[in-house]
Amino acid sequence: MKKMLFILLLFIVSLWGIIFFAPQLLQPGAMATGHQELSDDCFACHTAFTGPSRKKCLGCHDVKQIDNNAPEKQALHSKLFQIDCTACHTNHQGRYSRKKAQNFSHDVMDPASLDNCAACHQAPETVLHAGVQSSCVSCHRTESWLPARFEHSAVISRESTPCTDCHARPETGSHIKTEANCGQCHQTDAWRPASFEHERYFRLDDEHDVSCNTCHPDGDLGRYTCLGCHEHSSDKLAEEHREEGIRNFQDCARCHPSGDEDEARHGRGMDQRYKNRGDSHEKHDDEHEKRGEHKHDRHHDD
Amino acid sequence: MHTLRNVLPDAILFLLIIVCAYIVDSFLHLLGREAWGRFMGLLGVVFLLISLLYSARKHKLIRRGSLKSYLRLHESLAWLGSIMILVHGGVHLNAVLPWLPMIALIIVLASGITGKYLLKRALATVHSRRQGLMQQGLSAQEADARLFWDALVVEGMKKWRSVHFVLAYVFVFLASMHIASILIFWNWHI
Repeated sequence: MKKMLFILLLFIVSLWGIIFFAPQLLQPGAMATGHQELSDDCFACHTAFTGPSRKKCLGCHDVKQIDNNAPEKQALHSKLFQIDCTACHTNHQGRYSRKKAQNFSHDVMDPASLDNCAACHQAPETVLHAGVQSSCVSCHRTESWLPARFEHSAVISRESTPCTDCHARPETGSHIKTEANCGQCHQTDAWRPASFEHERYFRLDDEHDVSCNTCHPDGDLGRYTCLGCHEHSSDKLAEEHREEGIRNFQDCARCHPSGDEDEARHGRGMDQRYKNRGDSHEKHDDEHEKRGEHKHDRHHDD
Repeated sequence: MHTLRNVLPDAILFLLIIVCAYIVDSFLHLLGREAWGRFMGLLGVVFLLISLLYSARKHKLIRRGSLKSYLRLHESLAWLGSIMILVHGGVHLNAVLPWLPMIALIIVLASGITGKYLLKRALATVHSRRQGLMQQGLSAQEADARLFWDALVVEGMKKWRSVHFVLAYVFVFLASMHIASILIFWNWHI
């Protein structure tokens, strides 16, 4: 019994000694700026068995007078619904104080002021936000800025705003070649699923009713070949075209965008760029031959 | 080589506690549930307290159940409780005081596992001597009677147990200081 009492006494004396003579052993970090002089007096802020007391904070700080030099901070503090300083602030530096700062909850705000975000926050100066007139909460939540639920309809003059003002053009094979508007394949709700109109680039009629891999080996949609079915080798293809006096024939879809042999013969299928310049097959091919250029890598750039 | 073979499983058991605690702590961080570690400390303390039933049985405060099964319970719950308390501490350096019982706990654990090894060695020694005595023509009862007073082995175990108890008392003392300081200073508004 005496032994137990001795241990209990030793325990109480040790704890008392630490609290009043070595409080640094208990502190989860050095005191915050402005409170260093309190570092030896735990009970300046804490009340035993109930923790830090807002009453003690308010004994030194007046919420209405907080940071007179920073109007936005004063605006924030003047709209507090409940005055619980420890909901956002801690006296101790260290890991926990960093977490605490991230844990700001809008629940402490006056509900009436929650609709007026601009009273405390500055509107982001980004292209995306420039035309937005709706309330922040239509896309963002008070818990965190991201993830946001973005409604394209919130951006004014949506039809006249090109997608590329906000979005980077994807550098994938199927996107590099198209000049079409994103909206022709994609929806504003989500990037996927997307609809791709193959007909706009190459008509998949009865004669071209084949699997994707037949023309796009290894699933690479940025490349294509017609040799899987036609002529079966580049030598035969060359022979076939040279008979017609055509020497630039590596990019089949340039002259046969619909897969129709005759459309190349009538110049219908020729790439618009060459047609506009009035070039014939021969003239165009000769120019490239002279320069030693071949356009066959046009579809191999991604 | 023989000694290494005997020591290795216990050393692995000790390291496994630290590895398990690290994995659980990392997993909680991954899930963003590191706050659960706080409650794992409480659960760990409960486990450690239940594991002390072995000591109560040993001192005949409890008379039911075999001592061996209480020893197994003590080992298992102390092992699990220690993992939970290590997860509770995590790898974060906050206040100094909580780290003192944490260090004491690791030392008690090492001491417990050393005791487990010593017990294993003592049993092996007793068994081989018993075999030797029986080969000399003594009956099983006579051999047991002689081995019961095998002072060397018993004294060795006694010495270890007293060290283990002192270390455990230090741990309980420091852990109680940590718990008391939390009760006094914790922000109960959270």
